[in-house]
Amino acid sequence: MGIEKMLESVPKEQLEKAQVFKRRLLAYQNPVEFVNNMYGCHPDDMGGTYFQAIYK
Amino acid sequence: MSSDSFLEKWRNNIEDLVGTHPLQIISWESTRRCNLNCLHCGSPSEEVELQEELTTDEVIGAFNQIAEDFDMSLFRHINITGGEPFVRKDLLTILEEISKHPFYRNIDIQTNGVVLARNPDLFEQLKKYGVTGIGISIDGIQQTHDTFRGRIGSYDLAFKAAKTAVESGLTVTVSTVANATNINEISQLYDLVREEIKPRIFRVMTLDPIGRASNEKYLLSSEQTQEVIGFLLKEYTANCEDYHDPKTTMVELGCGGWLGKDLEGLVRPFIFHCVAGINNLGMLYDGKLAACSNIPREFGFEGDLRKDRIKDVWDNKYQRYRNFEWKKTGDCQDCGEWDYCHGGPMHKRSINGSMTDCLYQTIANGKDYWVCSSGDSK
Repeated sequence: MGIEKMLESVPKEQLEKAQVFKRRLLAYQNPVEFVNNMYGCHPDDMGGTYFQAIYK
Repeated sequence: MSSDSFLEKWRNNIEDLVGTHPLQIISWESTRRCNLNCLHCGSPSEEVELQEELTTDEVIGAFNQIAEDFDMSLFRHINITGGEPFVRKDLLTILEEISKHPFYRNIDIQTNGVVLARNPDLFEQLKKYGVTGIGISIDGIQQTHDTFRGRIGSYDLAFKAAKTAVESGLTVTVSTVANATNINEISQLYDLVREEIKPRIFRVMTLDPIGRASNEKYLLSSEQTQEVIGFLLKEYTANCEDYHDPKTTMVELGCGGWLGKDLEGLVRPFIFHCVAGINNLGMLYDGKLAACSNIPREFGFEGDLRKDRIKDVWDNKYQRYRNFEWKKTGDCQDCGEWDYCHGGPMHKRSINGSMTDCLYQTIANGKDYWVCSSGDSK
């Protein structure tokens, strides 16, 4: 399929919104704030600070 | 700021992190023993000498030593894996002891849910001892899951444990390993999990050919991998604006690798970079010091906590996790994504530098790693 076609399959408005959040993810101070190892699950996210900063 | 500028900022932050490599996550492989016998297990007990397992005092001693030697101001969390952590009879004793340290109070445990479902009183004790997150594996609708787990009823137990964990106020991740036999159920499972369990995260990982999962019948073709990523892309972009709400279930692709500059950041609530040996210390069941408990043991170890001071090992070893150039072989050699992925996740590297597969190559170029005979030389 290729990445371009995958992205084309997403409604334009949704993609634009997600791109805004992507830029916030890229700019976040700790670049691996929410990365965990593969077996891992996520711990508490410190009061939701990260998600408020990215998705609000 | 242009998109490229954001990427460059992120890359600079990664390079700073690699340079300073602060210890932020301890991934403790608590045991290799398990109460199930899953067909796709990446860390099967038959591969190891189980009598070598660390004792209660050794585990507590290791966490105390870290607390004493490291700057813990940047420390984030402990991730407990297995085997099945709850087969360790001393798990609560260990948690009670280590959670006396204020920075060891953000702990998550990856489990099959069997013990938790049968002992729901455990949730309150776990919370008391610093556990904030529970990860439960559900690998398909009832029959599929039970077949994988090798036990009828294991789906019901996993489901019950996950639901009770959510009701107990824990951050719950439901994890699914996408493979050739359950790929048609992923969407249905997601709907079911989101509606009935309501976890914070629905995590999908693509199967890696390690441990018992090396069996070819489970491995995904490039089209199937694209299908899985396509599903996550669709769900993430449709619902991510609600992710600030802790009651929303987020989707994420696990750490199978970098997806390319255009797709990364659109299928999970983070930008992927392998953290093994950078801010993540792997403490294995027998005291060997690694970078992540998911890296196959054949890759070797950086030290042994029964012989070495952990801080000495962290400061002076782990060079192969922090200098990436040795991985620039095969598909990586001329890849335009190198500056961002630095060769992808370490669990996909063999000791000679070759990689088992690359999600970016699979998605962008349709590369089918499992149809050909081996690694990136194809």
